[in-house]
Amino acid sequence: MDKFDTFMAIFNKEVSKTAKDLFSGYAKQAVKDASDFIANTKKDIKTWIDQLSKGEITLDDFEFFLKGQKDLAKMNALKQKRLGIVQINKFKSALIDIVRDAVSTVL
Amino acid sequence: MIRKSKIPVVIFTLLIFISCVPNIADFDPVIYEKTVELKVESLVLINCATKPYNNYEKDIDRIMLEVEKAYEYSNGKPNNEITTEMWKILKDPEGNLLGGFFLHWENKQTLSQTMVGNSKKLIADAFDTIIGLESGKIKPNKK
Repeated sequence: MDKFDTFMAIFNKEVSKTAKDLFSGYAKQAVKDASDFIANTKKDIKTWIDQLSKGEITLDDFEFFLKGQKDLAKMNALKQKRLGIVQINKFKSALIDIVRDAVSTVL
Repeated sequence: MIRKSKIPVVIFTLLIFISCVPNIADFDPVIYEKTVELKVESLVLINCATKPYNNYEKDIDRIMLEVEKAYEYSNGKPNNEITTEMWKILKDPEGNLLGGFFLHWENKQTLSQTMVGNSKKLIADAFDTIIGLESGKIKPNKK
């Protein structure tokens, strides 16, 4: 095996391991966060409908909460976007280490 | 020999990829602590919304000033657009979170306990979203 093959073998192995560690964990967390948010939203809307039917809140109040929930959904989407960028940056840092280590092993 | 010369090509290609990744602001303990503090103070004040708005006008102005400072601090940090956008949504008086709630209180003068309870939960979740985002950022010493 020549030096390039050795370099590529080390590089491929480490990159796939790092990517798997970083992104599979992130994907699971992102799916869990989204599921939790949808579950909480459903629960809240059910509560507000119940309060509206009992006359505890007005239709204006109900609309105010729905719009608030929409604002919250926007914030959650922004958070997920940001956490995705964080993972990509962690991968970027790891990639630099992997290349450095692979080169120092080969040369 | 030819294959060995491909190593710099691979490294160069990776450097191009790396340079295309957007940068993000690091974890900032100042904004993290400030957000937690503002969450607590805001929720305490929201609890008072069953009483006349005028009695709390100064407290509301003070909190909104602090929120505005947090927004400007966030806005002034490079690569921090997403967090800044979240502060903008939270403080917007035309929106339906903190800024919108205070405006609603001002318009109605007093709010029902149910209105206060529901709004408090939404606003607490909004602050928690910013807090969760801040705590998920990369600590500078972990880079």
